[in-house]
Amino acid sequence: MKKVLQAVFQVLASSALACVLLILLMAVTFVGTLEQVDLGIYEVKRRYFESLITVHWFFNKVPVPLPGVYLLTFLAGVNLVCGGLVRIKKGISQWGVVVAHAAVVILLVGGWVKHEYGEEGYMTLHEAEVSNEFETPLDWEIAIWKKDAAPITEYVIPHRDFAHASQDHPVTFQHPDLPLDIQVTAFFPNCLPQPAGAQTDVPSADGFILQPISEKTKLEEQIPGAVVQLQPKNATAVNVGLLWGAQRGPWVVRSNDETWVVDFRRQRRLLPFAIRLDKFTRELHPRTNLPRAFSSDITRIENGEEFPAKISMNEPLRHKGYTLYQASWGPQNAPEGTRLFSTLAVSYDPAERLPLYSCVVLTAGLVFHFGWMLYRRLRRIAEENAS
Amino acid sequence: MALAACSKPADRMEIKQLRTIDAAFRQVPEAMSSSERFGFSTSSPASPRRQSKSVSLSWKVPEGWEPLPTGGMRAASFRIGTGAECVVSLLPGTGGGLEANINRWRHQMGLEPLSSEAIAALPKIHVLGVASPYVEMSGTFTGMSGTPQPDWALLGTICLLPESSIFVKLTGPADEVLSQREAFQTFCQSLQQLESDQ
Repeated sequence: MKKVLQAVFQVLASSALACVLLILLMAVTFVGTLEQVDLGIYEVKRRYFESLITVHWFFNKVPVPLPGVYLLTFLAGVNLVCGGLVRIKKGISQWGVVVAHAAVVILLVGGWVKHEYGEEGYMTLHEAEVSNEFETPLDWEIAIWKKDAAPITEYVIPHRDFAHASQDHPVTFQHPDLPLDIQVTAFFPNCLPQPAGAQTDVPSADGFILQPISEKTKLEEQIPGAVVQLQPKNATAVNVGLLWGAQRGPWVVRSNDETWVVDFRRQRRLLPFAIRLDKFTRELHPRTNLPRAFSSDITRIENGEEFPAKISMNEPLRHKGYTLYQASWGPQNAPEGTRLFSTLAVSYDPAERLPLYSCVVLTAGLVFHFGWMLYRRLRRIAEENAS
Repeated sequence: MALAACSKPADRMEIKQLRTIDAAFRQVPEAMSSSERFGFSTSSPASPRRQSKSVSLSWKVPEGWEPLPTGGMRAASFRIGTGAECVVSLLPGTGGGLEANINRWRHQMGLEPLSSEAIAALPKIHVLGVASPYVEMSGTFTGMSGTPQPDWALLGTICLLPESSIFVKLTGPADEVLSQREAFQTFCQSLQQLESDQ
């Protein structure tokens, strides 16, 4: 048994494994990048970069199983620890190399923490608008709250909980403080609302149906929809409504003498502070409509205090693990005088500083290593000259 | 974990996410009908954020095209001849995607879907400066009324803009539709973008 474990350790610590992993990483990154054309960035991330194993169809005909980048980077981390930290000789001449390997392990850990616990999304604001929320790019949510309440308590149902709902398998959501149940009776990953017409085999509400369309559309381009029923707990009347990802406003419905708002939107995350867009500035190239630079003058509002800041293309705002970048603006090609909006990309990374620490440790390790090599060389030259 | 992944999903769940939001962060419009929410009519104001990303259009109406009432997603609508109709629709984003919508039109005409390669190879016309695929289809048209219409034709194009999509679709009896081929293309190429909505 001990020999088997030793053999496994030898493989995991080998430089041959490191070479194989690097070649596979390059290959999977290459085919994954090409697949973005057809599948879109988010589906490729899911299939090739966040998976343990994937199947790539070469020329759309030959299926070839490939390890996912998640598995490859995990094995690369194990390889680094076994080979670069455990098995390596621990003499002073190797200290720099050990430290450099440790720095790469720190980098990998940082990447893993961001993947597991990080969040990304977008916040769109017009001038004078304030928000403490951002929207994630892929997932959706159903939110219900009582109109005219202050403050508002939103009951939020995340995408993963209703994504499997269908006419054969409706899902009911409830909460002790919510006087009604919400049943999702159908969910369509990509659909368009259409007048119901003569169709009777699909659920309709208010004269409309949701027409499913091909799921071959790129993930980020799909507009989902859901059929929902509101069932008051102490009454039998049921309200049926359609929710659609590009609807122009939420479904506002009277139920049991109360007005409720049901929204269907990109999944939202709360920031630990609010952002107010004070001024958006767009500079154009002379005599063209092409933007040269754009920036947002914002105010970060936290605990009643206001902190002005400016976010421009290469100068993000960093605060409490969140980084807000200037991502885009609109409407595009808008003539002078149009009220513009600014879109900020929001990234949350609990291990935000780890890449910096990794670089510092890596630099220290390499400086020590090359410094030590230089010292040994100079000492040998001196010894040779002396003899 | 593997067992949990294979188990049947629950049909009754408790809502676990509650958020307390300052009322100032929630601008809720008055109640809208489904028609208004989905952009088929516009008697109620839309959410300012979503409306701001739409575009306004102008066009040159070909001879013999009779304007019809419009609203919401329908930016323009025309009656042509006795039974043909041309509709210009505006949708946010890609409106579900190019391939999905072209194949949805083909499905409405009772035709097999096209592959991605065949859609990429479709002839293009320039709409708002964007090379947009142009389709012609003939067959039995089944619209939302559910009534099959044999010997119909469809001319269409989809123009994908950065934040919205323009769908131009002419349907009707084949002889009337195909005689409008040139007028349809001229109409599509005459579309111009006006000042954006506020």
